[in-house]
Amino acid sequence: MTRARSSTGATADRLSTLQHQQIQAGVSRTPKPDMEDQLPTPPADIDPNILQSSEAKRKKHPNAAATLTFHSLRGGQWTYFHLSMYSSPPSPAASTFDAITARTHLTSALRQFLGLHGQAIPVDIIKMEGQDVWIRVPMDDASAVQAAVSGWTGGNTIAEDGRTIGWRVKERDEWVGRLGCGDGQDLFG
Amino acid sequence: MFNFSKHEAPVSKCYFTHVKLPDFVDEKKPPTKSKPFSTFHSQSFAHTTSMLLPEALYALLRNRLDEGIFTLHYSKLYMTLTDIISSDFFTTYIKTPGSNILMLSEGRAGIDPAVFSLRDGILRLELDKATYERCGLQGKPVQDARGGRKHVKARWAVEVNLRLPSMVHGKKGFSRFEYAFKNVLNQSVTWLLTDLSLSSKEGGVSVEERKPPVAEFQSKEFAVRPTATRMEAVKVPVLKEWRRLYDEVEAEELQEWLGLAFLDSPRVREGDGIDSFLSRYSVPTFDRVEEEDKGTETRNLVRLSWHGLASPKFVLGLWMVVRKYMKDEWVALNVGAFGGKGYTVMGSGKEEALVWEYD
Repeated sequence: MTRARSSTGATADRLSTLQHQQIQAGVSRTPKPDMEDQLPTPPADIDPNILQSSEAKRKKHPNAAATLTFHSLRGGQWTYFHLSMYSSPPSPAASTFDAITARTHLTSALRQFLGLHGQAIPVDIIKMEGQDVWIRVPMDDASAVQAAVSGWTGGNTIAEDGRTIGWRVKERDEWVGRLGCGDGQDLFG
Repeated sequence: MFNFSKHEAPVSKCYFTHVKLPDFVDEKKPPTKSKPFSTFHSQSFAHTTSMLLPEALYALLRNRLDEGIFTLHYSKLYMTLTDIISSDFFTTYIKTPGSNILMLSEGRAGIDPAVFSLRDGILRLELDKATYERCGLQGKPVQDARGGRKHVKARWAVEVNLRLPSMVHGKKGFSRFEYAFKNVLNQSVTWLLTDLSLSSKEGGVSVEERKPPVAEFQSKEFAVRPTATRMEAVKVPVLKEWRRLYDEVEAEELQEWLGLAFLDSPRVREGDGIDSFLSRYSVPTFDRVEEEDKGTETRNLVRLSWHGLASPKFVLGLWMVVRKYMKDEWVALNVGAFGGKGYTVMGSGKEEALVWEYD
């Protein structure tokens, strides 16, 4: 039985190889010039002249508008935050608040929440204005930063005149172009 | 390690497009379907509009800033939905041929129980489930922008074209709306209104003078003039060929630079001496051929910004004026719209434009 099975298996194999060869032969019989025409791959960086010529085939006007490239950007690198520092009781308006102070308060918030791991999160300060700070953090750490910053209260030190301070997250966005705009609800106020 | 998954919230995307502008644009009737013109039309209700341009170009435009086209007109009023579909307001603003208003109610789309908008005579009510069921109106489920996420409350949108001849008092379909507006959606809400039928020259005339029906609703007029911010010695990346941006990283880098410039961040200024401990941002370089070539140039820029309800007509008007002056310069336009949408458009020399649309 086993021998018979193996022999049939062998013939089947031989048949299949034959068919395969025939198929290959069939392929080779197809006219070669076509294959050669298809061979040259389009260049990696797109030449606008080529694009225009392909549009000409579609019978578009050469002076018409044309989309030269399109991408979906998924971000993935940075997340931006608009934070605001509050203190209770409110500090006088003239109080100084510089980038180093902001960074210190951010670091202590991150350290309190995540220890050394939190302290190691790189934070880039983009802008300071009054009590507001705009920062940039790697997207993978964004959730950790948001949780650390919103749950933190600090201060009660001599430097802070015994005030309690904390961060308020005003905006969070993957695209900095949208960050400065807010949500527009203040127009209704 | 800390249970913070990498992408717990769906990441919002940004659609980047590089377009060749048409050689000829009809001033009276600009195109609507091709970018960047279609981008302007995609956001009907914008709240923040900013423009970034080199100082040399601003100097040319400066004398024209007093013109009506650079002033943003809108009004704020308090009214109920019943007020919209009754009496003078309905007749003047919706039923009269040639009238065209843009209205938006208070509330955040997707969060608050009911948000209303009116555009091209189409009233759109975006409702949560409870309110929708009480209204007794026919609507469609709001398309889930976040790709069918679980545990997001379903919402419905009811849309009706109030300009239709069937939308008059006494008709059956209309009385359903009257009933819903009288019994369910009967609160007075804050609206922002802009009248698109007024041409830019008439824009200076207050709405009370022209159209009396608004006066009853405690309307307040706003005429927003641009706020110009001069930014000295900004490091601008040199970009000779925009094809350089075909890599996603570069497209994102330029978008980031524009975003920081729109924020007026000190990080894009020349001679910003911040320590790398506080910020590691550096202005991107694209066309660096030789070693000595810095890849950036120092220029004075001006940012013009408007905060107020801006219609696509206003944004398009800005673009149409500025493009005449562009020649070899570039201009960037950043628009933030209600509902968390927005776009950035950068145009140069009437020939090409880059568009980033935030979704």
